[in-house]
Amino acid sequence: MASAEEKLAVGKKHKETADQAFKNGDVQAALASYHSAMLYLQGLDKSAMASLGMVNPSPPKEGEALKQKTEVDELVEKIYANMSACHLKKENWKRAEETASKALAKNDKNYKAMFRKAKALGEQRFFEKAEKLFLEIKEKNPSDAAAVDHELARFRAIDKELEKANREKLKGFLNKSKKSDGEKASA
Amino acid sequence: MVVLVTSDNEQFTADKEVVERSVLIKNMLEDVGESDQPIPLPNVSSSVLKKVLEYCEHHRGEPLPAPDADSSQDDTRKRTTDISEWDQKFITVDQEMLFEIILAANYLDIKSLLDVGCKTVANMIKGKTPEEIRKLFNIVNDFTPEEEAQIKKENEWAEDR
Repeated sequence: MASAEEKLAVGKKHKETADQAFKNGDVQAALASYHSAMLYLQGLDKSAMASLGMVNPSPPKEGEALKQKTEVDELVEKIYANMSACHLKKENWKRAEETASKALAKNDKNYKAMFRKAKALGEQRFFEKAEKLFLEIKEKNPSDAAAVDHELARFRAIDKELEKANREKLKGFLNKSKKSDGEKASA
Repeated sequence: MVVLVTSDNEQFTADKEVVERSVLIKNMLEDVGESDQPIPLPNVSSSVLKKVLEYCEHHRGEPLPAPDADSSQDDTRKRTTDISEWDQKFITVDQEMLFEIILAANYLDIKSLLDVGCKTVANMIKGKTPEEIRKLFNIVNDFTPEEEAQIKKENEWAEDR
């Protein structure tokens, strides 16, 4: 059975392959490698449980286990954030939102993940949730303000467009029923 | 069919519908698409995966909990320690296997199995004195007698009388 260190190394290698694939624009290959990395990295916090004496009666040295755990956590956070970017590219908004949320669960100050989540929400037409999150990003991380304003303006425009289209539909609905009434009367 | 490889290099083949009870694998298959390539599960051993697949096989076709249902409707599910008869029988294993199954369920993201495992541990603890619980889980008492007396005093209200 491979040790935790070996698994960590394999996980890291898959992540590097994925990062490279993403840079080359091969989103699908990147996603595949990110998933492979996850298979190795997730569950490594088993050592955390072992150190509690719950699985393995001989706990590893405390400092060691702790350090390793934070490194794994950081990797997992980055992978989720990057997976979210992949899903945005694939326009798979739901999974983009899910993965961004998972990155945020590891680190609620990951503004990149927050931005991706807000975007994924907006694309799914959860305009109110998206707007709230965008404004939160702007407040907490002002350097993203320009990008946030750009997305906000874009979603507001889409929102308006949708509203207009709906109004149009309603108008047509009323007119149609009147017209058909008229037709009936004349028949 | 999906091929899984365990930490001790054993291959398991199972229906897609069965392995997809694992949200980890389900997401992966959805994102990446199916392939003949085996999926490595470096954090699950063959003896544990066998049990996990037995569970997934029995519960195949049942609806999976929604990914974002964590906070709201989950509450009632968490409040009860009821375990169905089949699950009860399934989870009657030695303590080491029980913890291995819990870890695997957490790793593979199989919420219902994780629940069964954790509820079983909860039931093991229920009604026992601290000393009995320590013996049960092989926990060393690292409180000083003064600390222990203090804690006992603070929690007196919760004692069964």
